[in-house]
Amino acid sequence: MIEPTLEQEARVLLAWMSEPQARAALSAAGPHGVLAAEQEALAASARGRLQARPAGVDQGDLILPLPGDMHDYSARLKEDPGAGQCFDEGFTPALVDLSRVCAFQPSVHVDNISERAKSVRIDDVRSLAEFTLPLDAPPEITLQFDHDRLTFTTNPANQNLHVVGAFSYPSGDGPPGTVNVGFQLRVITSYVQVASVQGRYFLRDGYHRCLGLIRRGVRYAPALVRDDLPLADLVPPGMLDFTIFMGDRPPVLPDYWDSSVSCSVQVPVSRNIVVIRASELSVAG
Amino acid sequence: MTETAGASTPHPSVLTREARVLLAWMSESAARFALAGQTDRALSAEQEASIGRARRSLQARDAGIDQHGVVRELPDDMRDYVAELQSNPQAQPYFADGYRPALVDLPRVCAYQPKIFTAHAAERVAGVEPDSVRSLAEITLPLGAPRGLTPQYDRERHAFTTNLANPNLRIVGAFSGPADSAPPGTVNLGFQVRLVESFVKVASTQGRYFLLDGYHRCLGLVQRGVRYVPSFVREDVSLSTVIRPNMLPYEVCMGDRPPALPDYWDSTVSCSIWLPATRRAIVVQATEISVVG
Repeated sequence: MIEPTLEQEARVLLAWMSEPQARAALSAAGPHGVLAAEQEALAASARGRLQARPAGVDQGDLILPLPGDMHDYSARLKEDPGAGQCFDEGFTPALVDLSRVCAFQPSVHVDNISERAKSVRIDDVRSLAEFTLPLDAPPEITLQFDHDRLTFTTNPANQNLHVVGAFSYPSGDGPPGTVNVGFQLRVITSYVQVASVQGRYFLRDGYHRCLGLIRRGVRYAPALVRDDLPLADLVPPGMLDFTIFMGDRPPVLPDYWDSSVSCSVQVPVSRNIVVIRASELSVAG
Repeated sequence: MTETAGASTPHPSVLTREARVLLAWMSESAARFALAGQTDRALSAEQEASIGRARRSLQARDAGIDQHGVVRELPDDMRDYVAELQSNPQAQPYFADGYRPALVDLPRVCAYQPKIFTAHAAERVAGVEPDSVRSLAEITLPLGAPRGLTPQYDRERHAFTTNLANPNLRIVGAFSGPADSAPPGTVNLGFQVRLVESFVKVASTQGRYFLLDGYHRCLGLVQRGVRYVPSFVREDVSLSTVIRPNMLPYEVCMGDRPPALPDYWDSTVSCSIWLPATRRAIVVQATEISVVG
């Protein structure tokens, strides 16, 4: 018996997606699937509604300084090892008008989105900052080790678990000649980050939280902001096409909730795991 | 002495090394596979004939092997060397496992490895003084610091690779724990890799002594006419220590006419072949995987 795949709801920017992206989002068969007539009509309608919009996006006064009483929060953020790295890369905390920030991510999971944003006091900048720029200690990583297969596997609990470093150095506790070889793992704290490319501001990280805040009617929210980020550092693979998000009618964050240009789909639940494995091999040569 | 087996020639496109194989003791299929250079090539008529000739030579031998006095105590002037060996971290596990240093008569030690690479075997023992137990010990029970390792890191693939011609490159441990001097929540995960020092080891099972480790060196010493050499020795190891996958079968090792170390060089029962050269590689790789469910 095949277990049913766990699924969750996502909002997809149907009007901005390429044909294969739309097929992948709407068809169970993926990018090579055939859409039902109803789905074809939905995609065509979304594209038509987008084309009917006036061109351009107004991002004047998109970024505002944080209020003076947030200086202590900013200082703590700068001292935080995770956020401090963002400061080192040129990001600074500021208020950002979420309703006019452009997006490049074709879909965003929205399960539990209201739950997550429920505890935020939306008229309190500090409460918003605790949500968008958290100072909490990262969660512990739990591991399993398979002695026979020489394999470490992490508990698949967190999307932001990543390999953050690698090392090899002489071992201090083994016989001479022993070398420790391995990797550093950490759950990377996710901060809402906004960065500009060619004068246009995009949400770089924090889509799930920002959609939750927008749904609650929040406009300005604290974020880490940077101007002129290289495109390669801003947009990872698998996003909307460059000509779309830099075009006349780019999507902005509220568009995920606008059912005239976007729609809900069910997508498989996925989780990140990290596997670290050692292999002894005999190779020719 | 005539060469019984027709030695296979090196394949032009594959890096090969010379090896000696105990043709007379191998199964028919293993002998054919070895003579074909570990390929499915058809054997020449001479190679086909060599298998039968080697077997007949073996059957013509007297049965039995005399291992009386094969193990002797080390001379007293080796006490300081033994003491150093006892404090050597690489040798300590063998002492803990019941091995002791002693002299063994190499020509009467039995073998279970069907083939041994012999390239550089003579060079490896060229500097030894056969009449000096200490000089022999420096080859068979070395005290030198092991060679350092420098794993190569492929940043794109998150992979460390250590690649040596030495078969004693091993993963010797694993570790995990909080990473000091890294942001809170960071953990270190990894493996300990070492070029494990190889000591000549001889052990008995069911009353018969076999060479467990150090074949390459011992064949070089046997070729130089050396008899008693220092070795780690232990009595009564489990049969599974000797009878292992890809080694000679139980009936051969424990039979009437087991191979002894000089047999590798005896061309009436063994032969030279060219086998693909192998290197030892250790890969430690991290992979981030997105799993559904």
